[in-house]
Amino acid sequence: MTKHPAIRRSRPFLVVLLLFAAPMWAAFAFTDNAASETPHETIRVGPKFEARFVAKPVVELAAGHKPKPDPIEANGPIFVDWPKPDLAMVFTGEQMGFLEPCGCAGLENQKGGFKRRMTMMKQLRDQGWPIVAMDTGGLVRRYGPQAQIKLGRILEGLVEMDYSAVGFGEKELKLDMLSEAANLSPNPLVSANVVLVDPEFGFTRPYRVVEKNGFKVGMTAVLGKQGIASVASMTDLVTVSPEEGIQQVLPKLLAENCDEMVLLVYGEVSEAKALSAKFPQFRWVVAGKGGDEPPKQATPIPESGANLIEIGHKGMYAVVIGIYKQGQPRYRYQKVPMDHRFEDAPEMQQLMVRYQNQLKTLVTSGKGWEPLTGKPLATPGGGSGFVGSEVCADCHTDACDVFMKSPHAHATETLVQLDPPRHFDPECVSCHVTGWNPQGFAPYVTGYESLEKTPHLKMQGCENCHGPAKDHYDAEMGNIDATDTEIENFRAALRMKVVENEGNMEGQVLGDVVKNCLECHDLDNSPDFDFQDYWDRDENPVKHEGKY
Amino acid sequence: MRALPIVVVSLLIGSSVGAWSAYQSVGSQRSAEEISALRGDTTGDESDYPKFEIDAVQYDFGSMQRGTSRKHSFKVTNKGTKPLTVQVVSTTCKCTAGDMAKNPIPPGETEDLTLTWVAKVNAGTFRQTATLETNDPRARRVELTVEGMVNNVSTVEPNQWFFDKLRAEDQRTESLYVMSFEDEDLEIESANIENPEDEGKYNIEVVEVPHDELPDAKAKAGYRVDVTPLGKLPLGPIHDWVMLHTNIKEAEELRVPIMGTVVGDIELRGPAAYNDVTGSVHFGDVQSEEGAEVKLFLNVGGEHAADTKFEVAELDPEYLEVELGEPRKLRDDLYHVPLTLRLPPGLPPAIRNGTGQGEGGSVVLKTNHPTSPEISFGVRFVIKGAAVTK
Repeated sequence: MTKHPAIRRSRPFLVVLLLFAAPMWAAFAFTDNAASETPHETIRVGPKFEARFVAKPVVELAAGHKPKPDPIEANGPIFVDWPKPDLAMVFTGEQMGFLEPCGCAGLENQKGGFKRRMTMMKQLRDQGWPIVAMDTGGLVRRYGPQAQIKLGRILEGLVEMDYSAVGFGEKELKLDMLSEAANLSPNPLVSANVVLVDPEFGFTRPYRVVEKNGFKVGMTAVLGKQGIASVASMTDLVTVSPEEGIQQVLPKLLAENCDEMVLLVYGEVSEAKALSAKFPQFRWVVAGKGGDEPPKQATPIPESGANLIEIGHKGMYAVVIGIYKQGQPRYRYQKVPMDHRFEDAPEMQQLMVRYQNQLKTLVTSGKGWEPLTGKPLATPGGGSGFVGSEVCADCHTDACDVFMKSPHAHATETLVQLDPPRHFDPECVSCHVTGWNPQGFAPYVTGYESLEKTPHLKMQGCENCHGPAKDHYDAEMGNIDATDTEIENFRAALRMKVVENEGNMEGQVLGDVVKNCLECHDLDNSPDFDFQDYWDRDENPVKHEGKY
Repeated sequence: MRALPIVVVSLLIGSSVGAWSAYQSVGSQRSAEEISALRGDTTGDESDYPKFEIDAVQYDFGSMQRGTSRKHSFKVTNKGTKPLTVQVVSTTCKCTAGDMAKNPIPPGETEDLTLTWVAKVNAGTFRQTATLETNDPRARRVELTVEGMVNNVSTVEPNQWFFDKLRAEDQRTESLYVMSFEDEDLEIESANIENPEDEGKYNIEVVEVPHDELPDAKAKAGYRVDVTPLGKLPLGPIHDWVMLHTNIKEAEELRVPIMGTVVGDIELRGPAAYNDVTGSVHFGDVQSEEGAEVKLFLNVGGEHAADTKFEVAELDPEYLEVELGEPRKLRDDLYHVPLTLRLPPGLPPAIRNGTGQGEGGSVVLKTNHPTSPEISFGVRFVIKGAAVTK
């Protein structure tokens, strides 16, 4: 069959079209489009809010506020000119419960977290560095069911990162460390002066010797004297002083003829130095309660000839000591900031998922938040309770206009949209809903319960600053019999006034309004918080004044 | 055959467009000299560059009170022959760097670079850094450090009353100290339980103590605050609050927790999987082919501790496995009995999570304890089967 001339003539043009179209199609097809792949719940605000305006997503607001910093420019390069060491000792400690970088104010601005730490260690291991990892302890900073769950996950993470030794801080010893240790396999817990129950049960080791790449590293850990005093009444523990503990293990460590000897001290720098002077056999002494930032170099301890290492706070840094069999220098020191040059390790992302799922399981078990937070706290000010920002909008329209354009209106939404979602985590929820005590991480009676049960208490609502408004609302609506005086008193109880030069920066007045803000905008979660800037900024200010 | 020239022309046009586009985005090639100049490499006469000098890279501020701020000016001098540019690229979060009056610094001149920091930390070693980048090729990146000790104006030590395994009948007292490091006229004006519903559960006593009793020798004055439960606390976790009112300006109101656990003679303890409030072990989602296991303890105290025995009376569902270990003596009046709870591998899918989807399971143990003949706890789980593929 003869082809139609039109077909023959069109063929070359089709070829040309294909040559141009193919790369264009490829470019579109492989463009990153992660946003559409991330599942999330849809947050719906009440119909009154929707009718008035559409609020900008908080992600855009946050992203538009500051450019993403270059981590190497901000925090410096690492391992510059380092040949591959024959041994690398990695030191961490004083995690203080920060499984992730401290706070949520832009992860690119903050350091820390297990996801980045694991990536760092994997990268070093992939480059053939023989690593021995040790932690001084100080794993948690709170008490209660959530802290217990977090302790379990932190230990799980440390085991997954193949830590050889983990010491004790006093706060984790006040939790049920025995039960965690019984379920830990392998078990890296080491302490010369704290024993769980009895040495014969093997829940802790008094010391450990690790052989790696021809090196023998002897390590032990002690809880400092202040910590020992604070756990003296714990029935699960057998404790001795740090000196006595070290005296007991030192002969055994020395008998092993170790190449490197490490003493992990969960105590202040002064105590670590004093122990080093008494026991100069340890070349490396790590202070768990040193400065919040590690110094640029290890600090020589003249009395013993040892080197003091401080690991900083909140897991923001790791300190790596590179050891070389030949050449000079024999030892190299690097403080490694856990910044976003290290991508998130999927294994630790899964750990976070398991952690959040465990919290969710308890919160959805039928007893509300109580399994995690204990009983709800008494309503502040003793009033009838929280009523939700939507009813405020009925009258206070100007303030509501400002509110809905602010990030406060999207506070709950941001938690739900995280991966994994965080709206079952009291440590996150306490500042992202209405009716919770921010620093107590617990709800007030009539405070937020869940997206389904208390949708009116989503958002960082009006009442978090102004106080519970049910009495005021009921009086205005005539739901209760209230005299004119009582009506005025209910109104007055919720009024707030920004005083002259109120703020949280030096030279400003720390008034009641800004003190309230600082309950959530604390150093961990909002390190750049400047009240006067946030209050009256050009984009999405919080400032509102007047009756309505 | 006509197609071939069309293809070739198309490729040439496409390549030209692509190359032009790439050139626009990348820019023209720079010569080696231009690159070297941009980087500021030292070539030739070393005196023909800015030269960064600073009086010190580390400043020890000695000590300061918690919550206060201090500043220190580092003196930066340009000892070179070209203008010196200094840029603050980062500071740690409690530290800010002020602008210099002149930047770039002309040759031969000195400018102050002031760091301000706030001691928003607990007492102890404090260290903050600021990182500079300069156009002195021999000092591209400089880290300045301020460090010292932070002291408290006042402190509460320990920072909570902690009752470890308090028995209901115990009249144990736990104490903490409120100390002032500046003012000798410390006063505790009141100390009350915060929640009115907890009135009557505790006795709180405030005692002014001599200096040598205080845990910190640097304190100028201090009080001991004793808390004694009055036998009315329910079994389970303790999490109450005491409000202390003081005359310390920075700490007029102190909210201090009472923490711990009230236990009976027999108490089940476990890792985070066991929750006191729900009274259940929460396995969460369990893959059928893996099963799950958790090690718990029965804490047995009191005068009958040595003689108390346990046996499994009832399991719901019946496929739960419970293994009781040998009792371990901690003290004459305190024993631990290990208990392993297991969901064996290979179970069919099931929802027993204690919600509307499925009732939780349970374990009942019989004991010979005179006042606690039976111990029970819940078990919640969801067993997921392996994915089915066709």
